[in-house]
Amino acid sequence: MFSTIDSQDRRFARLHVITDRGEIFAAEIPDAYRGQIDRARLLPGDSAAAALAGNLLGQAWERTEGNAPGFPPTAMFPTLRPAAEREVPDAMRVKVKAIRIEIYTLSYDPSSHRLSTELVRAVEARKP
Amino acid sequence: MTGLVATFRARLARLVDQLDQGNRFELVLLLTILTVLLYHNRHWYLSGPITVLMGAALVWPSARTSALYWAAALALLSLAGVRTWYTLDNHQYLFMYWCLAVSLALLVEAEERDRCLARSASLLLGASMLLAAGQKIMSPSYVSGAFFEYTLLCDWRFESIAWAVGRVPLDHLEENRRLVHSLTYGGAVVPGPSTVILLGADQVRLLARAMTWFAVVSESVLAVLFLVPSENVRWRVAASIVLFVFLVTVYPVAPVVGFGWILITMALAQLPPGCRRLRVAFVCLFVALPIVTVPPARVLSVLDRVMGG
Repeated sequence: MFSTIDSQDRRFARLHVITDRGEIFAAEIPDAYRGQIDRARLLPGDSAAAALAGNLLGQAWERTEGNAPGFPPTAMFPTLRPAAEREVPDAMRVKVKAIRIEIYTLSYDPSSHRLSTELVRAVEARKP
Repeated sequence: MTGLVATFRARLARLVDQLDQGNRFELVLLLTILTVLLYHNRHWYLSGPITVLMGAALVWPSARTSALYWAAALALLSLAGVRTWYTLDNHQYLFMYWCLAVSLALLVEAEERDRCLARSASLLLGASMLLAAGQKIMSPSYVSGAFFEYTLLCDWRFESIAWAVGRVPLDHLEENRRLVHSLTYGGAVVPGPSTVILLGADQVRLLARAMTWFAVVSESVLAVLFLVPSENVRWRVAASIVLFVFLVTVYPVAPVVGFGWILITMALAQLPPGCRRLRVAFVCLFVALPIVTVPPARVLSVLDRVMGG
């Protein structure tokens, strides 16, 4: 009655944004996409992850800063976030070429006490 | 002191009598309503109607003996469930099956209702245990003991037992949770680690192995006890006692109150008439279960420090 480490509900998603200048940013997936993230990590096949990547690719993206786990709250790192088209000043706007969604699972090796991430699938949506 | 004990015993005896003389079917319906009301899946637009429906049956007792009412409850739970089936906790499915079972029991003759609901309860309990044991046996990470080792070290719900039995310091457990967080969320802004080493693994290894096989063996035994179609009263009492021991040992460690409550409700539904003490024990467990969701490790840790230092 417990979900095991290798069960689907232990999976998690990571988002990478690739700009038209070839920069790759790790970005936090906004809460508004929570339902779509759940579909992408829990449903079999690539279609839900591809739909999420397609939706995120259609958004306006802006440069911002964010905290990262393991660092003091004052430490800020450059990142990107989707925003409403009209709210993004030109200086902050980023032209996005592609969105990559990666779905990971955790695996634990009792002999070495190592907890590792394993890539289950990766889906990319790219602008023509 | 003697007076207090006497009063408590008199009140307990009165409660036992009330439970025994009262309508057992009615008790099961009430507990089902409470379980669904408090622990249904919080869906943003269906949670309101489910709460109103369950609340209405508390105010109008006639509603809860209507098959249509339980069919409506099943419809609402299913609607909420079908939208998010891939994230739904497994006891939410049990809520739906149980509403269907109650609805069907209310369609049969009044004198057959208890027997009909008891059979449904036994089958649902047995099937739940069979599937739970089957899923575990088929998972390599479960059978190897890795699952419980990881869970004891990283899941806050198991913090108390890892601390109390495994003697893993609470700050190690907290550090493990931080490490897991850095693995799963670390890549959000800066590239996160892909491997971390958990603290305290050696201290919980034996405990993890014991818990692994306790769960598989107890669930398998319960599956057999409830799935064998026996009308023998002793068999059903034995099954209920084993289930009670299972609930008492598992739920203080893994406090999923909604799951515990629906299992207790079904246990009461299949209990043969006349098992007064067992019935009271299950009702007391129903009342006590939410209290165990308070993790005692923090309290015990403070006491330990005070006593030790």
